[in-house]
Amino acid sequence: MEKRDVESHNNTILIFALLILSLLFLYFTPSLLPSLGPGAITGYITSQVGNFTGTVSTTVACVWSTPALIVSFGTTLTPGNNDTNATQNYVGGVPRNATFYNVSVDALSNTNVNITIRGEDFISGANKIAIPNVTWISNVSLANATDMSPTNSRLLTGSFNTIDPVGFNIAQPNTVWFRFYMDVPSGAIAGAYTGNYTMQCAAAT
Amino acid sequence: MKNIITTLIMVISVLLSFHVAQANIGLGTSPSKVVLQVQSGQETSVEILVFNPGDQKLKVSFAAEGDIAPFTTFSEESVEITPELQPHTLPIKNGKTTRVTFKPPASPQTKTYLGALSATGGPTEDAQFGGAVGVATLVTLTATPPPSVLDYITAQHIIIGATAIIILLMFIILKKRGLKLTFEKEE
Repeated sequence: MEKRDVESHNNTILIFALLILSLLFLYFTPSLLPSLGPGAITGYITSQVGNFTGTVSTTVACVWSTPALIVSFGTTLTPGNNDTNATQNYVGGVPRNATFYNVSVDALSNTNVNITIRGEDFISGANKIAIPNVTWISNVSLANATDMSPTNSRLLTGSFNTIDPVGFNIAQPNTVWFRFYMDVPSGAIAGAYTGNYTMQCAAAT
Repeated sequence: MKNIITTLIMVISVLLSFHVAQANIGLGTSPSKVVLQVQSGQETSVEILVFNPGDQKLKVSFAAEGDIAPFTTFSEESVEITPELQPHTLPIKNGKTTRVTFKPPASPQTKTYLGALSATGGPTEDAQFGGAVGVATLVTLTATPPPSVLDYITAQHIIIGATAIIILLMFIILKKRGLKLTFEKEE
């Protein structure tokens, strides 16, 4: 075989190899050659006649009674006295044994909720009464439930109490009632103390 | 007559009790829960809508709680929300939207963060024991490790690479046998 023939033969092989590489590239890149490639031939004719669309919207919403935001234990607290009622613990209904402190799951809530609570210490200048001196108790059925007593109440803590929530898996339009009690430590310094609490609604998981 | 007056007083007392106990401070949020996945070290964001189902204007502040707190930011610190119109119906009319951005730290392991985006209104400043109302959007965020180069290699890449290597080997063998490749223009 002459040298020229050999070179021509090699060129043919080179072009053939490049062709194979190009075909492989196109075959595995469907966007470049949509009619080829894996899964391109199905044997069916398909046509799109419509789309389905839908948006899922989840909401949680709660509404609190006005008294629940302005809680007072009175102005005559005595050091050493325990279980002092918040002023609106026993004021509603006839006889007046219902609490005005409540939270309802609003009609806009399409998710059941857990309701949790946390508090911050009472402060008066440099003096402090620690928040666990306040206790709370709730009832998911009645504003005047007899079991909402100091005996059954829970300590108010500095972080949201998810283990013992105010309300668990509450659906709208249900209401949860609650009462607050306060222990005044025997060594408490006289003064006007202010503290606060936060009640939070979140989706029940 | 005395009985009628007594009954009237009792009815008025009951009605007043209901009036005073009428709930009117509210807060809501949507969505109630978000589940996100993001590459660690990168940002992702969601929008949350807060609304007021009560009947008073409410100033609401935002905060992140739980594992997500260190790397979560809000587009606004607080917003003032006017109450929803009665009767309450979806969609929300007077809500405010805020964008929440998450940027979990880079990590070679997949990590799941749990937390909540809380919106809190109040407390009443002059109360002895002021209450604040809050709602929370629960967050589950999974941070995945950054991908390595190997993650981008597919079976197709391997097939093309192998074919290229075979062709290259073929030419090496041909060259060793004394063959030479040339491109010549035909005369």
